[in-house]
Amino acid sequence: MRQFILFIASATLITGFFSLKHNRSWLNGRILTYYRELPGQLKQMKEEDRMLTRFGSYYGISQQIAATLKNKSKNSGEALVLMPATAYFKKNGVEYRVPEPVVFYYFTGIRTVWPDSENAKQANWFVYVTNGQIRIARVDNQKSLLDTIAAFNKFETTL
Amino acid sequence: MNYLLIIILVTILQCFTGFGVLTLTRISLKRGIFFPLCLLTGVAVFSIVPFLLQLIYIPITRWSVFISLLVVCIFLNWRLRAGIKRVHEVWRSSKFAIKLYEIPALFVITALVLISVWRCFYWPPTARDLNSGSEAIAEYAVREGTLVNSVFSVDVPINAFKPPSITSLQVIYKLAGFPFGQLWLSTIFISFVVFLYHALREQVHRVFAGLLLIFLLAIPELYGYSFMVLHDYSNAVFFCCALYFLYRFFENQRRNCLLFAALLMSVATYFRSETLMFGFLLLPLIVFNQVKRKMGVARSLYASFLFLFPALLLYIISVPVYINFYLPVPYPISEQINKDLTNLQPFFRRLADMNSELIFSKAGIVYYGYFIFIFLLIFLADVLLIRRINRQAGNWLYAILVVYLGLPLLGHLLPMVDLQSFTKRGLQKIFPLMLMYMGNTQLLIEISKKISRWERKAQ
Repeated sequence: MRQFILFIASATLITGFFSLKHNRSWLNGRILTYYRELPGQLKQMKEEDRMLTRFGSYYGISQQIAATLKNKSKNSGEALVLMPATAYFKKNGVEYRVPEPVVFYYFTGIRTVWPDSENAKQANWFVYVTNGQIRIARVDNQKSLLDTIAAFNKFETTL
Repeated sequence: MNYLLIIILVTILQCFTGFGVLTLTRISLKRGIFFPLCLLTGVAVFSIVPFLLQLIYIPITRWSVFISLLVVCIFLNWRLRAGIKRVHEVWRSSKFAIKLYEIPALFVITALVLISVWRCFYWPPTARDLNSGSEAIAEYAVREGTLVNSVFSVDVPINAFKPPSITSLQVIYKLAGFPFGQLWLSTIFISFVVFLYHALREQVHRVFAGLLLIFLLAIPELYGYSFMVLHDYSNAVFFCCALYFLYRFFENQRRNCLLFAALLMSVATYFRSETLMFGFLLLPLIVFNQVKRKMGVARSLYASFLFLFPALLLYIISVPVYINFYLPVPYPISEQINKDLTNLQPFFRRLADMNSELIFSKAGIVYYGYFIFIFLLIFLADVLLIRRINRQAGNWLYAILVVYLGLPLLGHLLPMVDLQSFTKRGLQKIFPLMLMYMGNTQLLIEISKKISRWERKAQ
């Protein structure tokens, strides 16, 4: 009987704890949602799908840029792609948070460089936006690269 | 092989590896603490093996890694017979029995653990600090057979220069067949939860143990990092365990406890190199405790040296030696240190910001729930009602103070250490210590005794 009283006390204290405002919203928003998420997650077990769901365009657009480059160049492993900042994409109507070079490399196997890096001058490809479409082009000459870097540097590079 | 079978095999190997270490260090514990500690120690040993292979330039392949793990496991179990005998004694000495009133807490704890494990398995590594460092390096280590790989051919941030603890574990789990690695974190999480529950039960009634543990698990920030891999959670776990054995050493003066505490401290430092500074801040407590027990200053200093030496050694190997002699990109560590150390203004500013922005703020409730306030409530009740802080609780309070003041001090020493990511995550270290403090307060111990007496009367 005394064990049962303690059982009730324990259950009451735990319920009371999770009735506190922030605990309740945490429980409802972060924990109990699991039971709604689980069936969908069980149907979506492919790694690629899980990456896309988790990271959205951060991963998806990075993959598209990499795929375009791989189509255009046989030596995509040798490519160093100049990547404008997130603010540049936003100004040109594309919602894309640009991964930093190491994350882009982790996602795609393609090397990128940001315009504010001292290695930017070594880029042999660059990404730009025209008419709301992301394009990738080979660097023709050093002067145009420097102009592009200068143009990209007008946008603040942030994580 | 399916995932479940792989994880069972890897976990068994980890458990045996940790078991070997516990046997060699002759640590005797109750069953509820012994087995989770075997796993925690096993994960710690695993985290070093691929790094060691790298140090001696052995290519990192599935074969080299798993044969090395097996060899290490066998080597550490050379006193297997003695170990098995001890396990037999441990098993017989304590009965496994769940009381009715433990069920509500255990139900909630199990639900939280299962959700965490699933998320850890299902979601890819997410934290930016991980993907721009350890995870990227681990992914390419699996492809290229070396931790010093093509990731370093792009502009790498500071995260790529952290000790390769997580990288090594990610490599092992990716080689074992888990595309996102990560499940080692669930092993740490589950082991730590079981460890804490039994550690609390040593002092307070099971109802309190369960309730306190739920308070800890329901810290949103801490719970999030139980399935989102980053350095701080594992660091907090090993730091707390190191202190647990250090305090055991204070009580029993057995050198194996000190040695084991030192090993765990070195692992904590390996997961987050700044922990070394917290180690130094703990030295006054060691000296004070030893001198108080009339051990003499020389022996106190020797104990302090023993406690910190493995951490210092592992730090030297995994940070300056590894960065300067193995990694292809220079990383001047000394340039990160504040040049104006005598000006203490940044320390006080960080301390104030930590309190106003992280702890006592609306955001603080979102990050850490009510845990800090529950701690303060129990602390005040202990001071005002009982008017006596017992030795164990005092020791844990000191450790809390070390983290509380140590984090702003780190912000002062290393200006790149920022409030919203580093200090915020660093605070994870303080919560298990607060939990252990609460579980050792005279207040809860006295109430626990009364409940137990009342409970026994009925039998």
